[in-house]
Amino acid sequence: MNGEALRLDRVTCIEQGLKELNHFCLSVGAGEIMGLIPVNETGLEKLTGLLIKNDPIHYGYVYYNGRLVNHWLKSNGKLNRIGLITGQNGLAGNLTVADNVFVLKRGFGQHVIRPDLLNRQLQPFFEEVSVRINPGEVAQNLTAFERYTVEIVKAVVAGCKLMILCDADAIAGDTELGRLADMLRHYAKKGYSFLYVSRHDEEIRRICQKAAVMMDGHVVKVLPAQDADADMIRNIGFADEALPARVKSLRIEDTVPALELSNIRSGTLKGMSASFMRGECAVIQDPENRIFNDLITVLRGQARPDRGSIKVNGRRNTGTGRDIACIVPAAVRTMLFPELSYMDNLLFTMDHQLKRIWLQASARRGIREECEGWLGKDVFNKRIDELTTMQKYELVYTRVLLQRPQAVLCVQPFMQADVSLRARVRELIRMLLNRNIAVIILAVSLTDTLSLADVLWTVKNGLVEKAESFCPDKTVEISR
Amino acid sequence: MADERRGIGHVFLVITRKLLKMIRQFFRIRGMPSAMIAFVALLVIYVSFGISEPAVFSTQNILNLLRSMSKYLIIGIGQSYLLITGNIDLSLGSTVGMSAMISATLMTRAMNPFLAAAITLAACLAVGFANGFLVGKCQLPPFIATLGTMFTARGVAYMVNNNRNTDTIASGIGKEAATVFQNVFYYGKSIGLFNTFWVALGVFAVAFFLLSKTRTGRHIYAIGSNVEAAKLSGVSVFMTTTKAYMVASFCAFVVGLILCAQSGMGNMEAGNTYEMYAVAAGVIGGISPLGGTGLLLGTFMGAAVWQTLENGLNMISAQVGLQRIAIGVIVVFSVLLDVVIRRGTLTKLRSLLKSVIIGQSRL
Repeated sequence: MNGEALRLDRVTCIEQGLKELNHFCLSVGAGEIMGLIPVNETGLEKLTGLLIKNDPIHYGYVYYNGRLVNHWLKSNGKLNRIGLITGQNGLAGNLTVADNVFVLKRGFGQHVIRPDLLNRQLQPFFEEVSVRINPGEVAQNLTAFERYTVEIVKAVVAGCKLMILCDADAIAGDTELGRLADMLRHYAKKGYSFLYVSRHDEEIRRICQKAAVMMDGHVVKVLPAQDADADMIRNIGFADEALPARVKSLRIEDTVPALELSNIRSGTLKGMSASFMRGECAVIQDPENRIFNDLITVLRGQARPDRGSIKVNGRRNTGTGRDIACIVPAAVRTMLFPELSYMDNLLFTMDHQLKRIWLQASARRGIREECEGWLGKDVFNKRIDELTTMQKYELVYTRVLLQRPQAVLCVQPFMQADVSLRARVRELIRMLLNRNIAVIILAVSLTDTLSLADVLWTVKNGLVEKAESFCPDKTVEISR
Repeated sequence: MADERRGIGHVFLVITRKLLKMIRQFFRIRGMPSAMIAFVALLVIYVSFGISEPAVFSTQNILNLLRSMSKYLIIGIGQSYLLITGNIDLSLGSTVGMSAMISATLMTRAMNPFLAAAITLAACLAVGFANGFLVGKCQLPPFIATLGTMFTARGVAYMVNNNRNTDTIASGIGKEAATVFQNVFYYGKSIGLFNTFWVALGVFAVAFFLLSKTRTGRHIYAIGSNVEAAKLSGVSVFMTTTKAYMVASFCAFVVGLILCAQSGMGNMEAGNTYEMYAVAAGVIGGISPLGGTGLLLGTFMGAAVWQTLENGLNMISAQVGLQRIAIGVIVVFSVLLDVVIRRGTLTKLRSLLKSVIIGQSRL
């Protein structure tokens, strides 16, 4: 086992009759950056759970740092020193960076906290990887990428020799990804190992040395990272369906934009102006992931901008109506009502059009019959928690479609989506576009989004820095 | 002959399958299993007490039982609305007291009972609005916000008649009008049942309709289920929360009038701890205190279980302490059941059992 940080040997996990992991074999060497490409989501959560918490397994062996830590006869349930980096829940928002790194560490023995000392001790760790973060800064004030970085440093300080990195694409733009790659290589040279989970083959090629392709809870192939490309993944088993063509081309003859932002100032938005036409797919890229929350808040009418105006179809937006829909990241967790029925979830935002929808069973039946064509018949009898991830996404997007908004904000729609789901999400977004709805994708990285985009707006420091049109007969002007 | 038999058998099989499907669908309604558990518990409790003391089965006892459960049912409906939104109202009992005191005081001063009821209603709705504003708009924790209004409403109940219980309402509006008022809300009967029960049934029907057939009802479930998703879907959390609190206040208003009619006067301590009875009625009936799920049918069952238990223990001359212990245990058990169902522990156990059985049969 020398030279291996982690080895999973024929690990099998069965949950509620389903094989989450099926003879899963994987080896990560010390100082290696191993990519993991999940073709579908099966077993991914289980894998991280068992690596960190030594969850019971039905068959197989797990070795970490040369020691057998988990096997099918006995799982001790103890925690392994493995860092899980997601950039989401790893830090306590109200504590400082230094507190997060040192005080929340297992085995931190001091009773009296000396902030200055902790800050001084943390500084060399940041300098080592050329990161400029104030150790005394409160964690919630950091950018998403800074939080991700701090989580990695925290894992290093905690003595985790292996780190599992998830969803880096959701928080890191192109530049940040380069910085992340440098940082990982630096630590890899010092003997740290990484399991880099990503659905994007470009990222894997850029960051990792080797890549394992995982499908249905099973590693189907391990290969040099340079050989991991979309064609190879497709050959393995997933056939990316041809996307339906856009029914209508971009309606450039429309003179009134579906959504128009004029000199919006609010929080991190420093005078942003942009306009979006009906049936247009616009991508707003903010590599630093700073403006999204403020933009959503303003567009949803939850806060009034300090300055500027928002117009929907030429009329001032009050934010109270349903002219602007919003699909937030991880929509299946954040946008569904688990206690309501499928139909209730589907029709929830329709009642502004059909006021008596909850009284008229015939109207509901009609809509159900209409939707059965693409949603399937079975889903209507299922509870929300019984739906697959794909079905949940379909439900969310169909609900928005039935809402008939003027514009839809899709915030990082491909976040945490596996290969097949990404294709389906693209299809669903096209469905919205074909109904002449303006779709505005808010993205940190451009992977997956450019294939849909008619216009790309790049935002820096709350201002539109660059606008680029992919529609040959349309030009985009930046007004600041 | 054999064909005929096979034909009959086939029809029987089809009917059985359809029946089973309907039953399965019935139990798939969120909150229905809990309501049905409460119903079975009600039957068990009632029959057990009836066997120990046959007077429990008497018509008079049943009528009294229905009348006395009505108060808990109405107040339970109000609290259930709030529990479904994921909130709670500790001021309900005080609002009941305020309703009883204001209406009685106004009637002792010879005000028309309708006008007195209208003024009382406005006062109670104001409490509901204040609660909704504090919780929905100012984002105060509901426990703290309604704790404040609980004291305030009780204070109003004390002050409205200068810190004294009122005289009989007959002294103000006359014996005839007072009798009519008391009959409408408490002592009178219609179609063989006490009017109190009919009032409760009316409130139940309207509340049930509002919750299950209207947009507001869906919004109430939605903000209890996933408040962020509700916001993203364009639901005004403030408005929905306020509506729920106002429904609860309306229920407290009705119970206040019932208590006023029952005693024929205003009592400053009327409705004391009713907010807790209301929580118990809802929770026993499967309304989740975590929000988002539950049926008013469950509240109906919960109120019935509560009252049957109290009635039965009274009939067998059990100590009051024992009654309280029994209620406490049932409430804790109900919430535990909710937590177990939510965690999916039962489903996991069932699938584990299934895999064990399949494994054994293979062996």
